[in-house]
Amino acid sequence: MLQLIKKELILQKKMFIFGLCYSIFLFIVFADPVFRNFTYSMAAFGISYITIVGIAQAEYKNNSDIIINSLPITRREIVAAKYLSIVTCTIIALLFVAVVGLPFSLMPRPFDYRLINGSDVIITVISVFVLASLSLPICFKTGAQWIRVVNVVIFLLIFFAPVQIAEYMVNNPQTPWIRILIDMAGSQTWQLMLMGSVILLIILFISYYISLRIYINKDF
Amino acid sequence: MDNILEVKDLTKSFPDFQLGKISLALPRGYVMGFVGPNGSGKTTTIKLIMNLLRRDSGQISIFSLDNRIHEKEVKQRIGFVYDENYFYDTLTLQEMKSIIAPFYRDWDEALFRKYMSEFNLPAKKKIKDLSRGMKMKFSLAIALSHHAEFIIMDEPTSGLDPLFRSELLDILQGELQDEKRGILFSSHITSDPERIADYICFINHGKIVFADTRDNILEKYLLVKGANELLDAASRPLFVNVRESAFGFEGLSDQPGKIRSLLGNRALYEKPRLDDIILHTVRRDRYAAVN
Amino acid sequence: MRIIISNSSPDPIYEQIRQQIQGHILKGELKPGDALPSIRNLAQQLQISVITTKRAYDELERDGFIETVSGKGSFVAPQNPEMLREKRMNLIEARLAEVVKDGMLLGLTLEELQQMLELLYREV
Repeated sequence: MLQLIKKELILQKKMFIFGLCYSIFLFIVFADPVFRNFTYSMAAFGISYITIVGIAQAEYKNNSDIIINSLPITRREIVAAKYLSIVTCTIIALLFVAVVGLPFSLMPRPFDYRLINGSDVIITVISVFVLASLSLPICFKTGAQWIRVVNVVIFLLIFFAPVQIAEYMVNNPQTPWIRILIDMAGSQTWQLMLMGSVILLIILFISYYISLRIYINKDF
Repeated sequence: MDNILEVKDLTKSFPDFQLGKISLALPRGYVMGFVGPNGSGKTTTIKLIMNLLRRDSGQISIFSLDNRIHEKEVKQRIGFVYDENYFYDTLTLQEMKSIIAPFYRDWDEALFRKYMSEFNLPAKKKIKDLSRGMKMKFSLAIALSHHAEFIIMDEPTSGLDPLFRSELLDILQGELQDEKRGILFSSHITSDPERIADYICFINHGKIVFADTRDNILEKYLLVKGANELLDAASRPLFVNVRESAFGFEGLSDQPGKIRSLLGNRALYEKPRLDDIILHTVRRDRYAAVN
Repeated sequence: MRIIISNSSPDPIYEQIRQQIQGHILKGELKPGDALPSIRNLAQQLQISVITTKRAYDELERDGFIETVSGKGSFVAPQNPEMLREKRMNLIEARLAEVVKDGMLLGLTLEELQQMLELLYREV
């Protein structure tokens, strides 16, 4: 299975160059203090997204499933490697933006960025993992032709849903589950992080299980 | 003599095509040519053997191991070549090899380099910049570089010029000097299996029409040509199929002795090519299906 | 050793190979102990199936012309001089039988055939 990770890395290598330019571009464009807090995570998320989608498209276009499945490897390992590659992709993306941010942090205003911090990492990880969990099963099922469409939809959801939810919460503080949520938000950060991680892992596992089901029964 | 490949009662259904039941066996040390018109089920069968398609029923064993249960072990020892290029075409040959090679336990880098230079393949070139023939050679180089015992090929010669086709067949026959190997390749260009195959399996509409040693098949039939008057109640039954024109007939007979003694030197006799046998057999089946 | 396959010959390919190798042995071009090419090598050189060459070799072995040592290959069998002579006599007999048949078809008598034979014998 390690060989598959290696494959992913070789393929990702090509995408990362593009991702790097994209993040530099973002840093420049979003220098405004309003957005600045999110630049790191947006950039890292962007790099990951472009890389993952790019690879999925290449694999779809080349029908490379056929070669990969002809090699001595089980379908289970193929799916597992794909999920693991999401992790490596995210890590590499974060490293990239951290490194890109360094020269920026030394520049004069308006480009003086702070260095990357923990919450950037967390936001990136959550957003990439959620995106992957939702789109990978679809990708395994129908191939990458739909992935663009689906990803745009999910992208928009991730951007706009929290805002909608937040608005709803602000307008209806009385409803019981919102009270619970608000209480939770105020509680200790480590508890929050723990719960968040657990939920994230559960989502990831469900997604993995569904992908496995789909891929094991697929005909090429 | 054990069988490298054994297929028993294999079936697979599609909305518009039915494959099955297919049974065949390839002993070690021999080549099997899998022939049939386009759409007859050759690629489907090969995909089923490689477990790219999931079979509905039947058994497939390679090296006496089930191809699903021991999928990984079995595939270690299989070299595959497909007709379409399924590699990542933005990668170079070198990069593609570096992705594939680690999967194989017995990968032989020196052997791979030997093939690369023998085939004149530029390692740093991108796959999408290669001609069809070179992509095919690359597939072959990969397939032959991990000491595979079973080489399975789907239409390896289609789209290649005759010179290269001949070279490819030479290479395959060279590989067979090792008696522990077996090769299965499908082709709709019958002259290729006719040249090097030991066994020929002819498939049409998802069913096996005949499977036998190439010699047996070719010796069993006789091509007969003569004036239309020679066709009568006595001679017609001796033919598998007859093609009549205004100037005479050409028929394939599966009873060479009887037809010779019946028609004597009033007719012309020729050894049939594999193409002739397949054409006449297909026409007979088509005729039978219509009537 | 020369082996030429004809696609237009009525004889099957294995038969042609068998005859030609047998001919070489009988004429002394292949001597007892000489190694024959492996069945696979021969198949590759002639661009035919291994099953064909194997069949030719099997028949040659059955008729006592060659021996196969497993792991080493096939070799021309030691030819018993009387047996060799007898085999060659059989060949000559077969050809004479054909000549006789053809002669009879044409209506030649035994004396006419004998005369022909005498003339030819003296000429050579």
